[in-house]
Amino acid sequence: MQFLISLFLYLFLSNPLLAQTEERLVIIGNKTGLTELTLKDARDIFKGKMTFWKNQEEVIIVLPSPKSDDASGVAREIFQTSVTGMQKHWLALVFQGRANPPVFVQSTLEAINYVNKNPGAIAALYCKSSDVPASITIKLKY
Amino acid sequence: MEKKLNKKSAPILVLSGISLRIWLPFAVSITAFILAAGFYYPKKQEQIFVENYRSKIKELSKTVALGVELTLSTDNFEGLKKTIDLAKSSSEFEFIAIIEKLEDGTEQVFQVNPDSFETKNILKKNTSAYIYEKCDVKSDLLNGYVLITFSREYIKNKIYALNYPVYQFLVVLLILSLIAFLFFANTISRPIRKLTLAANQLELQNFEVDINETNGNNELSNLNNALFSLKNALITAKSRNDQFNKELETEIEIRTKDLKETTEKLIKAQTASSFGNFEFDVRSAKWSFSKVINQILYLENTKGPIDNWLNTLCAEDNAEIVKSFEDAIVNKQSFQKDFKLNFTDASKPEKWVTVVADPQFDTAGSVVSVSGSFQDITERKLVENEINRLSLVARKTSNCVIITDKDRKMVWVNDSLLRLTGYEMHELIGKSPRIFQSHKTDKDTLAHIKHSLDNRQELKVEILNEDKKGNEYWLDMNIVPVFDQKDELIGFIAVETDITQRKKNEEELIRREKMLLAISTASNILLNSLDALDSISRTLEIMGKAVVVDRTYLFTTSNDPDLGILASQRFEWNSGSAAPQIDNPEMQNFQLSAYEDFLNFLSTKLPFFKQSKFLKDGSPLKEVLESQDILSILIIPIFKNGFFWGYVGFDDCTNERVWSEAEISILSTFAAAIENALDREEKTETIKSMALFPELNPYPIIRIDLDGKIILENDAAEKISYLTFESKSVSKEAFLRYVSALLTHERNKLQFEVQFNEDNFYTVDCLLIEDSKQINLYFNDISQLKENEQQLIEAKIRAEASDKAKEEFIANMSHEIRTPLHAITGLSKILKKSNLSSEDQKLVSHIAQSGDHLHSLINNVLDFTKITAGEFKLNNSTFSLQHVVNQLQSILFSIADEKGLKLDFNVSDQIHELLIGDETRLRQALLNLLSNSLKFTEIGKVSLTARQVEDNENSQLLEIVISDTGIGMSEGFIGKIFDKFSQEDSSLGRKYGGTGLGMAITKGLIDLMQGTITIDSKKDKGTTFIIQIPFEKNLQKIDKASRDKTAKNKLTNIKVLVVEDNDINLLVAKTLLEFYGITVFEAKNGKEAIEHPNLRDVDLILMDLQMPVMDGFAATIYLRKNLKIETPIVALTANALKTEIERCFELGMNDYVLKPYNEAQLMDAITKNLNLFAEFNVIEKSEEKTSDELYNLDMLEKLSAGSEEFMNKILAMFLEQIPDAVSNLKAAFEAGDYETVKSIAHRIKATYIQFGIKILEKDIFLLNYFDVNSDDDIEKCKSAVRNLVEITAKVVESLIKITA
Repeated sequence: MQFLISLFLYLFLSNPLLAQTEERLVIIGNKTGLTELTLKDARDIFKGKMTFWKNQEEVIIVLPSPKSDDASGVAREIFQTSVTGMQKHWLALVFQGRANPPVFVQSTLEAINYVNKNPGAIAALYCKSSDVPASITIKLKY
Repeated sequence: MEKKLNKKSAPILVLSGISLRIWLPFAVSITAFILAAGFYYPKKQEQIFVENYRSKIKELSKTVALGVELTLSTDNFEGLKKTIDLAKSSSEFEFIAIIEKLEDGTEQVFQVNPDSFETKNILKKNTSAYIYEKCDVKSDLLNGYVLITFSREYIKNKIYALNYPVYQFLVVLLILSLIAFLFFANTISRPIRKLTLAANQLELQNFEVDINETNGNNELSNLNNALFSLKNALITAKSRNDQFNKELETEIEIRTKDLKETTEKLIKAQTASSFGNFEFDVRSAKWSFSKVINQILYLENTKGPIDNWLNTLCAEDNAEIVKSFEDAIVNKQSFQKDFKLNFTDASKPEKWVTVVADPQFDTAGSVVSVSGSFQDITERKLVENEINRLSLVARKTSNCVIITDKDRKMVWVNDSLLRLTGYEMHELIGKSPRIFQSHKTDKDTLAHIKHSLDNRQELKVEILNEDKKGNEYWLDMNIVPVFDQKDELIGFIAVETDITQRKKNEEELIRREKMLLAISTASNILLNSLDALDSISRTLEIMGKAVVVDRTYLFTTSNDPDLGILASQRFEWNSGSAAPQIDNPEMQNFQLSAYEDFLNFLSTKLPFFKQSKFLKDGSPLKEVLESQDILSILIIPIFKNGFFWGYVGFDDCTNERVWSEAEISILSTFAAAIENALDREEKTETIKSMALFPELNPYPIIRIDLDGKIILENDAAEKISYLTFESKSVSKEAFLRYVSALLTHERNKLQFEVQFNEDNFYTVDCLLIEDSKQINLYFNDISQLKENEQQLIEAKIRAEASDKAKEEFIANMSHEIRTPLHAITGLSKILKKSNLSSEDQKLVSHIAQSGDHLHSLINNVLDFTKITAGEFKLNNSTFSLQHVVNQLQSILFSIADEKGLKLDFNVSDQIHELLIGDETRLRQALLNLLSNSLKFTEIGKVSLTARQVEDNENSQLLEIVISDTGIGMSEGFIGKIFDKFSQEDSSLGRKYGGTGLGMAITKGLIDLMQGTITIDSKKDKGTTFIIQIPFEKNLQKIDKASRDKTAKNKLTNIKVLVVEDNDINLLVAKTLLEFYGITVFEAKNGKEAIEHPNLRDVDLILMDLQMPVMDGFAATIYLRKNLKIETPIVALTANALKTEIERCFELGMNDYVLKPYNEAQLMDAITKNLNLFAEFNVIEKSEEKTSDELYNLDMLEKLSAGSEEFMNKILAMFLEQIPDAVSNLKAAFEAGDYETVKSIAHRIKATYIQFGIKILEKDIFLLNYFDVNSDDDIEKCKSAVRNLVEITAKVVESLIKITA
């Protein structure tokens, strides 16, 4: 009986369809030279620890505006804090001059557009994976 | 010099003298001015800079704060970045920081740029080093401010950089100014210095100095010209002076040469004759001495005036000279005197001088000076003195001096020789010294003198001469030949010393030596001879010869009743020059009393010595002496054992001898030796008889040496060959060796018990005599003594066996009696609860009271039996005396109160809080004494005072004094009070009851505790018992806080069964125990307790005594006897009756706690009986409450340990149960159901005390203990019930308000 329950849970949770409909952390950036990232690396990038990509493009951090729906998800997953914590983190970095200021976008679409337009831009979103073109999505490895 | 002065001064800058004095003030002023400008100007600049920068960074802080606010509100971080970049590029601030204000009011650094700056230094503002400006940030996300800091150091550096060229310019300006003014100073000072130098040279008469006339018309030129004129005038004067001096010097030289020659001659003459001249100026008191006088007076090395030369003399000489000179001045007379000068400096030899002094007069005839001469005459004086001395020696010496010419004819003799020989000077001059020789002069000595003189040799001899009258004398003569300068003999000098007395002394010494030798020999003979009389006879001859007498003899005396003392001559030695008297019949048994004076003298034990011629003519003694040709006699008495035994005598028939002290002393010693010989002879006889004494002893006597070998033993001892010692048969020799080995210096006496000779018993007393290294053993037959002792022992054993049987019988009987007695008292109490008529109730009460009384008596008998049988053992544990006394007070309160007596108990604070001892037995002893006091006191009080009388590190000696104001005791009874079954008056026993064992038991208990008890009592005045008992201290004291903590820790796993029918009491106990973490099980009565499922799990049982269904006594009996449960049982009782408490222990309960109890009392009982620790004995003194308050919840609040729930619960219980109980009590009382009344009163008593309702305390006590048979009591109870109902109603009303 226990085995059956376990099997069911596995099948249910690992269903890709189910995954596509769930809101989750999505990283996009088609001109960064990246196709996949570990969560740890993603956190380091979005916390401003990297300033240039391997292709010498300047790293431009794109984050959801604190007032947007995605903000709390990204703050929790990437910065492991609240939206205010995320803002304070970047306030500190910019104040100290240790990183270029991030770009805050109001929506997923704005993020996609910005990423497409700006080489080196990388955005963190908290949305359904289906909302984002797979071509610009950087696969996250947990 | 000239060269130097003429040399033109070089135009160099000289900084000394006058030029320095001109230059220095200017230099100091200009330097100070420039330094001040260099210091104050930058300070002012800094203030201006700081203001500028402060304004600048204030603006900047506002900009940054705005940037932060915008960034946080718009998420446009780019703006913030630009703001920061702008701030960094436009200003040189130290750091920009964002400070966040936290909710708790504190501040923390959110961020700082640059981040290298230590954040911990940001909040600690250092305004001396930095300028701070801040601007608040107004944002929902961040409450704080932007802080910008600017370094003052930066400003200072900036000012320095700005001012650097100015500083350089000022330094150059300063240096140039100093040099310019130095040049100016030199220009002024140079001519002044030159003129000063020239003037100095003129003063030193150096007229070659270069001074030129000038044409100037200023002050310096005028001064120069004046100096030039002065120089010329001085040169002219100097040349005239030089000429005059030259002529004068030539004249002086000629005269000085002449004078010098004359002086030298005079000095030589004076020096040769040690003669010098002097002059003393009277007016100036100055002395002038020639060189020779200086030498005479040792003044040649004196520097300065010599006028004080008199002070170099000793005071006496000084005075003499001064006096002589004063005479010369005052009397205007010349003098010539010899003075002996002794100098104060001891190293300077004394001198003799002849002083010739003449006063010199002025025209008016006054003495103006004294002049004269000193001549040193020391050598001449020495020669004169020497001659005088020698002459004096020859004339005044005690020795005889003879001077002869070369023909040995006397030319001079001194006075001593004339006195010795009796000749006159003229009789001897021209005669030979042979005139002094006698016929006895030794011929050989004379020949030796002649030989030496012929050979002109010095000689020294002793010679016998005689004087003019023919008296002989001895001389020690020293003859020296005298030669003239040509070594030719001119005569002899003989110096003779009279040695006649020395020669006599030598002869006396020889004679004394002979006498000493003789007394030594005689003493030896007298000491060693066994026959005293024989030895005396032999020694008489020895002494007679040594003393050189004609006769020596011994007389012995005898006492005749009629004739008195008779003397007889026993022995005589005769030199042969006098007639023997040994055969003279008159010298036998002659009456000494006829010579009364002689006899009286001898009785003084002193020697009698006389020359016959000095005896009174016609006296009997003189006649006897003359008849025997005795010229001089010495008689020495001999005493034996204090009686006049006889005398020894020495006769000199040749010379009228004067007996010397030495002779008398030596011959007295001889007489003493005779006395000793006689005494020893007698003692030897005694010793001989004593030696036979042991032989006569019928018991053995043995003397052994230190190895155990026999030295002496008597006949009885010889017969012993074996003896029985310590149940073993040993040989006599082995026993003796054993004895000798045991005795030592420290243990020099021993006693053994042995058997021999048909098993007779002997004691052997062994005594070590250390001096003689011997051991004496004395045997003594104790067979009869032994037999008697055995009979006594057997009698004692029989008596003890009988006594023990009696005590066992009493003990057994007491036990046997107690069993049915319990049945009687138990059944009578059950019977009382049944429906009996009041008459039957009375009868049953009597049975119960009699049973209780009998029970108490039997307990006393049992205790007493145990004490006398030595079976009573103390069970020591830690206890508090204060606790014991509190318990006693509780127990006795009711009795005292009933009799209207006051209890006054007082325990000193000095007594150690925790003592080690048997608390139960101490309480029993004190209870006995206090009960006794209460029993025999009708009016007044009973008091107990406890104090420490000795305090040691580990123990205390306590004194407990119990006194009453009762009937007291007679003196006769005090001595017997501790005897068993003692009561002073048998009628008292009937009145007060008792077995008369109480005091005996008390004494036994106190004895067991190593204590003492004394009594002071007066009939009708009262009695005082003074007890002193030593107790050890329990030193493991811990403070209450840690103790409570430890207690809690230790008690956590404890389980206690509380058996209590009263809900309030149960709640109190439960709350209290649970506070300490104890697991509590409950039972409402004895039956529930013995059937409780956890009965065997619990560690301790708290048992109420009076309960429905099954009371505490019955439950305890069942637990102990039927269930064989040994769990400690602590009684909870509101009854402090002695009988009830005794019954608790009797039935096997371990302890009791009186209700209402406080926390400490209950926990003390629990911890003590669980052996957890003894330190929990905390006595909390109950605070006295005023009785006018209705109730007081302090006690409950303490018990609640702050638990509101407990307080609510207990108040609710009170309100629920007490009104019912009180109305039931009232109903029962009105119905005459007194047992129910008592039962309810007993049950609610503790609750009323816990609630502090003190007003009702006495009423409830009365209702609990009243005598149902006493109409008085019942009458009192009516009032008590009324009070109870009324006051309870008020309390309930008040408590309802509180709970509401």
